[in-house]
Amino acid sequence: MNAPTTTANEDLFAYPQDRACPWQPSPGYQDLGRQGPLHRVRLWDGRWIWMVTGHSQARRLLADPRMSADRSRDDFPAVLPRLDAPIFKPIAIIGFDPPVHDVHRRLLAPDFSLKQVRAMRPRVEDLARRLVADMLQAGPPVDLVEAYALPIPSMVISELLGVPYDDHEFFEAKTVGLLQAKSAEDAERAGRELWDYLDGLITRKEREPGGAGVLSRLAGEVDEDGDLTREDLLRIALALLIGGHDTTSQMIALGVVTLLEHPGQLAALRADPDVLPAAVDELLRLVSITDVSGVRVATEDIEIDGEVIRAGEGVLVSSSMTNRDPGVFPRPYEFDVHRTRGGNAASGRQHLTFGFGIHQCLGQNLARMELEVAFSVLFEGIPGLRLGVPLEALPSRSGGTMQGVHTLPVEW
Amino acid sequence: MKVTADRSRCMAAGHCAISAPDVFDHGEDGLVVVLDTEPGEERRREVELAEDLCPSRAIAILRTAAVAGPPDAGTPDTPDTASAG
Ligand code: HEM
Ligand code: SF4
Repeated sequence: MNAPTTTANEDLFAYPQDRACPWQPSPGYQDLGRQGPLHRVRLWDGRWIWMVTGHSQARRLLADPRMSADRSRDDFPAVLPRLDAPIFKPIAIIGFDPPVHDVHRRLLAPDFSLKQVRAMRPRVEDLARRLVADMLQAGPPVDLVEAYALPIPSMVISELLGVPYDDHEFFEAKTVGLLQAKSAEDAERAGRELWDYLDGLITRKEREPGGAGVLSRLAGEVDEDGDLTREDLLRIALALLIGGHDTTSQMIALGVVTLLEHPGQLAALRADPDVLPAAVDELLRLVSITDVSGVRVATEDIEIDGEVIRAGEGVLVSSSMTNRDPGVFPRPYEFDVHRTRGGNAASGRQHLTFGFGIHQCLGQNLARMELEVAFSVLFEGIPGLRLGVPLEALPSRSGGTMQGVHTLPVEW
Repeated sequence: MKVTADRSRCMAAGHCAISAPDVFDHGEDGLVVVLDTEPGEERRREVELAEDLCPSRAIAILRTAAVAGPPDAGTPDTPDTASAG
């Protein structure tokens, strides 16, 4: 990158910063957002990158083919220490540019299509109802992350991929280890354990072809000289397993917190089930669970709004701030399930929580369905649900990418 | 209005079929299929939403069907497409 460690960078805004409220960006990002759409921010290693807080600038940059997502490039910024781990460098799909990106994404498109997701919904509803019945039987207090928010996406992704759910404690713990690691070494260690596990699993699938799930299907399509090598498959398995459960489970958890803290909005949702899809997109917008829509490096000089992003400079798009661009979202800090009143089921999808451009989340329709089911079944089954500790006492994750809570004590 | 969808750009995000279900659907491969290439004006809002939300700029509304020009003559004029290449 063009910006070596210099003392000049010390004056820049330090990225990342912790949230003060579970569903609002850090006060520092809010200040930054008021100053304009593009900012230079200083990273942990003393380098700087661009942080984008304007919605239209973010969409233009994320859709621009001159921006590379290739994490193996020397100039690709490691925005957190853990992202320096070798395991993250060639992370499948999300970390590749076309043409490889497009080939692998299209291999998976049928499994994540709207039709596929709709077909899965009844099973996810059964699962959510079973989990609610178990909680009611166990009685309060319950940790909602462990009892509900995590098992739903975790079971769904294991079934979709064909990963035995019996191994869930292992892959959940390693995923959190990988995504919450404070150092590259810790991330690498957790990532390697997941890698070895998936390697063994895929070997079993190769020996016994015809099993259920995406990984069995893809194991039959591996061709060392073609579009999908065995290593590609392993990387795809890792990306889907990691991408598939932590994001969604934390979105369920913080979504529940946000609803409980806005009783009027929760009542509006209960009064009219048709509001559910819009309410889910409004929660996705507000909570911006990954806090970041994407990180890229410019491969050419790019002029944008009077600034020039030089070739080799890094760009981080803030989802929490682009989702609060007042030009797109009036009263941006307010939670309003009726925000898109009069529009159709897609009108709430302007937010950048799932990113934009060719890398926009592959699992977004799956995630939306899981969230719809999770909120509706939970509040129907346990109408008296409330937080078991004061909001300020919730053990929140630190700033950076994946936001969320370590545990979510609830009562009723 | 005339509507086109470029399957070679589609990333199967599915917004189009939610925005305008009478105009767009998806094939077995998960990629976009146009059901109605010349929807009526009453669908304009939905189709414009689909065009705006499509993350990979696969959907285009040909504003003036009468002016048949090069393929990009009808490319939408939203600022996002300017640099989408
Ligand atoms: C609330 C839940 C989720 C959120 C907020 C989320 C967020 C995101 C974001 C922001 C991106 C774009 C990253 C970039 O452009 O650099 C992305 C990409 C991706 N997500 Fe998700 N995600 C969620 C759920 C899921 C699920 C359930 C899966 C399923 C396995 C998944 C799989 C992926 C994959 C494979 C990509 C890479 C797509 C590409 O590069 O073409 N995500 N996600
Ligand atoms: S919105 Fe765009 S990318 Fe998504 S399915 Fe439709 S055409 Fe494809």
